[in-house]
Order: sequence, then C-alpha cells, then structure tokens
Amino acid sequence: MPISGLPITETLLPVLLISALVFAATLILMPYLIKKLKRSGMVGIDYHKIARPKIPEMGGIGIVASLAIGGILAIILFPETSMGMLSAILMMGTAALVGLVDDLRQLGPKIKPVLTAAACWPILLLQTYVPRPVLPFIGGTRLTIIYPIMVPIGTAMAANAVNMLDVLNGAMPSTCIPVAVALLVCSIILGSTEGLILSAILASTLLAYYKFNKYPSKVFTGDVGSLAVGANIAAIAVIGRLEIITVVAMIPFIMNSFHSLASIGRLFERRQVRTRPTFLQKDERIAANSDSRSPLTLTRIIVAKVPLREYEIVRALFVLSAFSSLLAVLTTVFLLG
Amino acid sequence: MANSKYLLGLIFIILVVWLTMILCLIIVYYLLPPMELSSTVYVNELIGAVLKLLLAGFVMLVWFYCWNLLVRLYFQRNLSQSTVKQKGQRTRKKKGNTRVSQTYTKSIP
Repeated sequence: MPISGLPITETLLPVLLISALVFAATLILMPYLIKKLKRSGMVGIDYHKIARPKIPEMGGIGIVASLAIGGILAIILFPETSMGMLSAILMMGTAALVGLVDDLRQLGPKIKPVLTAAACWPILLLQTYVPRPVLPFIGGTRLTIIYPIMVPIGTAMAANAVNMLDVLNGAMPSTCIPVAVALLVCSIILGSTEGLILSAILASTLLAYYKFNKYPSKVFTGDVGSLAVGANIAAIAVIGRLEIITVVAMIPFIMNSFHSLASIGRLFERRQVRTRPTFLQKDERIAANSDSRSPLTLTRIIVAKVPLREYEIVRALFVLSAFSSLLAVLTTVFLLG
Repeated sequence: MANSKYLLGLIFIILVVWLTMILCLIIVYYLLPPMELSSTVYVNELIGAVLKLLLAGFVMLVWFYCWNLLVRLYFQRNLSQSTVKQKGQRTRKKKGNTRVSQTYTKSIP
C-alpha cells in the first residue's frame, strides 16, 4: 500500500512524537504571529458581530510553518518517505503562496483555481503518485492517463472548497479536523504510512490552531491558510492513496462549493457577490437571505429555517463534517471487502 | 441545539449522496467496460474508450443534477417555513382586521 514501502507499525510512535512537537510549535508560534500581524496592520473586519471588531488576518502563516516543520521532521525520522513528504511540503507551500498573493492583491475568480491547480507540480514532477486508485466494491483500477489529469483538478477543488467554507469563526479547523482524523484512522486501517504521517501532522496543527480561531476569533486564517490546508488534504489523498476516502470525507465542502457555484452559474469571488447569502440580525443571529440571486452556501442552508448564532452554525458544520468523516471510515471497510 | 432536527435533514442528504455516489461508481465500472465496438482496429478502440468516458461523464452529470435538485427543494421548503423578516421587507397590514375583531367582540357573551 505505501509508496515508500515502510510498514505502518514502525511509524506509530515516531508519528506521535512529531504530532506532539507540531502541536507545541503551533501553540508557541501563534501568539507571536498574532502580535506581529496586529502591529503590521494586517487586520480584517469581523462582519458577523454587531461591533465589527478588527481581527488580525493571515493567521494561516502559522499553520503553513507548523505543517512545514512537521514535514521536515518526518523527512529526518523517515528518510524512506522523503519524496512523498517533500512533495506535500512543496505543494502546500505553493498553495500558501497563491493564498498570500490573494490576501494581499485579490486574484480574480478564474486565475485563482488555475494557480491552485498548478500547486500540484511537485507530485507530478517527483512522480509521488500511483495511478491505480482503489474503489469500494470494485477494487483496484488502472487510470494511467486520466490520473495525472485528475490530480491538478482535485488539488484546485480541495483547496478552494476549504477556502469557501472558511467564512465563520472556527469554521475551517472545525470542519478540517474531522477530515484529518478520518484520514488518519483510514491510513492505519489500510496501512498507508505516508497518509498516516501527513494526516497526523495536519490534525495536530489544526487542533492547536483551533484555540486561536474558535469563536470569538483572535485571528483569521486568510486564504494563505485555507488554501494550504486544502492542498495538504489533496496531497494526503494522492500520496497516501486515499482518494475516494478523501472525497467522501469532504462531502460538506463539496456541497458548499458546488451549490454556491451552481446557484450563481459561474466562478465567483466572495467579494464580488452583491447579494449576500446571509445577513446579521440585531441579536447577532445569522439568518438566510431569501433573495434568489444569493449563492446557496451551506451556511445559508443551515439557517434557512431558524437563525442561529455564529458558534451554533460552526457546531452544525462540525457535526456534518464528523458524519461524512464517519462515512469515509465506513468506505474504508468496504475497500477492504 | 435548537436546530438538531434540521441537522438530521442535512445528515440524511449527505447519506443519500454517499450511497448514490457508490452506486454510480459501480454502474460506471461494471456497466460500461463490457461495452465494446466489435473491431480490432485501433481507431475503433479509441472511439470506444471516448464513448465510455462520455457515458461516465453523463452518469456523473445526472448525479450532480439530482443532488442539486434535492438540496434546492430542501432549502426552499425550509425557507418557506421560516418566520424571519427579511431586510427591507415591510409588514403588510391585513385589511379588515378591525372589522373581524369587532365581530369577535360582539360574539363574546
């Protein structure tokens, strides 16, 4: 199963060590980063609060740094997986760079997906993929020609899907942690060493980051963080050979992106949408906009019947993500069958 | 949580999406490959492969369409049941209210 050939039983304890180090690194790094961002004036307005406080943005730089530290530690401790880890770090780094440019200069709705698709260049260049995905009830398949075409499409979809769901305090880590944990569990079941290492690093980074991003947020992730996390998930899917499992775990993300785009009828940037999907009531509950021109986001669907507070919506998103992650683990059982 | 019943609806949608996705994968994998153009000419094999890809794409499009329809119907149903006053909406005063209330008052013994 693993590309490196390293058995999974030899990796569990060292992976635990790397996860603990990455968790600690994120906890230590984030407060310094928040101070630095405030001093530099890199702040955004929290529109889901009546007071409209200014919150430091681009906290995702901390996530990128932690993921990179974890990847480097993995290369040192598991040299057999160095190609896979290097591809993941470079892929995540490229997506983070695209996100950074978008945060500072605002890329257009057509150029951003193209650039995030191009972030998969390390995987294609270093050939750290196996074009034989395993499907439930079907078994192994051979997609030698289609697979390298699907990798950039999948990368763009995963990165932008995570980015589109990062709209509320704590939404991104709340929805991505269940995905990372599901991929971790599935990696252990299927014996995917690369998948285990990468998903453990992602899960521990996001768990530590959640402390700073949860309601009420002390820092916003920014596109630099959300695109990097999405690209990292895509890297886990390809390098860890967990393609279909990742698609199942990310159903809420796909739902949010797909229905938003389908309702608008074209690619769009959040900032370009004039009719917002939701609006803030005086009691700080978020309600659904009934205008048919508004994009059909997952948040809008959740609050369609009853307006909810921001943390209640994030809790709902977490439940949906946890459920689809559970289905992903169930899919793994079908893969074994 | 106040919307826990509502969440059940979305969970059900995710479950349906997951089951239909696996069903579509099985349909595409088992139904399509046996379809072959009876010829050993390379061009015909290529045409056969392209046709299979187009059919698989068609199955996927139908699946996406059904998914989109399900979510839209669910959303519209819940929005119609919502009592939230939208921004810019004026509350309409019903005509004849006072007449009804006077009639009601008269009927009370």
